[in-house]
Amino acid sequence: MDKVIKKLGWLDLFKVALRILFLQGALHQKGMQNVGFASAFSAGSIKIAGREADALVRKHLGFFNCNPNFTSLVVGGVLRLEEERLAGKPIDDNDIEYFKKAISSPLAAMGDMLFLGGVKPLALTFACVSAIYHSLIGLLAVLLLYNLIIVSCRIWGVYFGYNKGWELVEFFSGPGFQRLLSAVQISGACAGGALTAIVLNALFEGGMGAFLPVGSLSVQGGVPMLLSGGVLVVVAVILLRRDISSSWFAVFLLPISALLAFIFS
Amino acid sequence: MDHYLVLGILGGALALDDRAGWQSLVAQPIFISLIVGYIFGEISSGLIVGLFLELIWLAVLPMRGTRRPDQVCGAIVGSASACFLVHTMGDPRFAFVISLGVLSGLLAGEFASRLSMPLQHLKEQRLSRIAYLRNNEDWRPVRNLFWVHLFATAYTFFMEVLVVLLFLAVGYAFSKWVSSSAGESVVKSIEHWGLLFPAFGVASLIHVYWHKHLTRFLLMSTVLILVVLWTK
Repeated sequence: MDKVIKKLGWLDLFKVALRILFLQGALHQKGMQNVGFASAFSAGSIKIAGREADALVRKHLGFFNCNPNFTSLVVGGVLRLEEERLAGKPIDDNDIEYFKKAISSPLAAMGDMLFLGGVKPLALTFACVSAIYHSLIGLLAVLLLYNLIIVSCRIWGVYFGYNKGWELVEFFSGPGFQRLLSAVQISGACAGGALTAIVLNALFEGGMGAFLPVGSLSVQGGVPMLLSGGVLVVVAVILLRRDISSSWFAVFLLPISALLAFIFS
Repeated sequence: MDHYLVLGILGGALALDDRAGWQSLVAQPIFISLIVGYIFGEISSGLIVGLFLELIWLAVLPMRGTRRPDQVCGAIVGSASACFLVHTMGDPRFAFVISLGVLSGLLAGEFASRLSMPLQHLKEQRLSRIAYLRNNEDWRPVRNLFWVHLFATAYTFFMEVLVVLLFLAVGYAFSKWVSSSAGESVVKSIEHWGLLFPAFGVASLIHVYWHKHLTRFLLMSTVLILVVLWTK
């Protein structure tokens, strides 16, 4: 099959990527990311479809939902397929719709697991450790590294998706992604364990007082606080597993700790 | 009160990052509080409030279908209240001020999230009309979608500015009232509550990494670091 000459240069794809950075600005329940998707797609559509660009974008205004960091891959892939269809390749609208659905659902799940379940908690864990040791450089390093990953993923995704087209499906079917996911999640759990140890140690050393300047507490931790802290950890984990709001649980504990303070004082 | 408007605009900008942009972590409580602390010249107070709010909210992952507190508003109100009491009011009871800041932040986060819902719904209703415009041949999506996207994003900004300004006023008034009228027993109760924040952190971390493949790594790492810390 003849190769289709790519009409979109790096600058055109960069314009698409810039709109993807703000993809969720127009998020709504009925179409989810459809406006963001179509808006990003429209930045590249004029070059590939000319006067037909409006009709082309209108076609892609249907429901769309994916992980925002992986949406760039889908937009790039769809731009490539539409370009190939307009160049006369045997691809029809149903094929492109099938591609969108076939790739966006697994990418949504994979992206959520990787970014929301892996990279973000890992970054936040490191940020908390940096904050505990008052390391501003650590905090800045976490911020820079995290953004480097996220922004490059959103920008690179458009180029990658556009270059791969149909091959995207095969690329994400391999075992490579699972290995990456496991590595990120295990790193996160190890970092989480380190933070748990640091916070537990603080609990032994007098609760919040361990993070404050010496002499700023008028009450002391001691054994009652340690016991109530231990009970609280167990109860909180059970309640969090049952989707109880952590904010309300924390606020609800205020009168209970007031009662405990009254009993033990 | 000097930084009232600056904090409102900061809230709008951070909401853009959290809800419209690429979620760069700047809109996480720990980084918001750092910025608020820097604005007040009280970095350590701000950072500690942010750290505790982060530890409590770490358990709320932004997965599909979860209703999150408005962390941007909560963190700004919480850390600004604490910085306001330390910096402007000169309250020397540091632990009490930090705990009060966390309490203001938690309440502001929850109530702001409830207040934002109808405002968000209004925006969603307008955006849903796109589905009908899709069949209208006179509508030019290439030209119009950019503006729809831009206006929807700008709406998020202005909505959060209003919400943050409202809750900042309430948060300042609440903190000032509690700080000036609380007796010794109330101060001790709030400080006792604050003592338990690390326990919330441990619970959140266990919740986040509670997974059949990950729990053993979490436990191994915890034990290892605890041994290192205790033998030091």
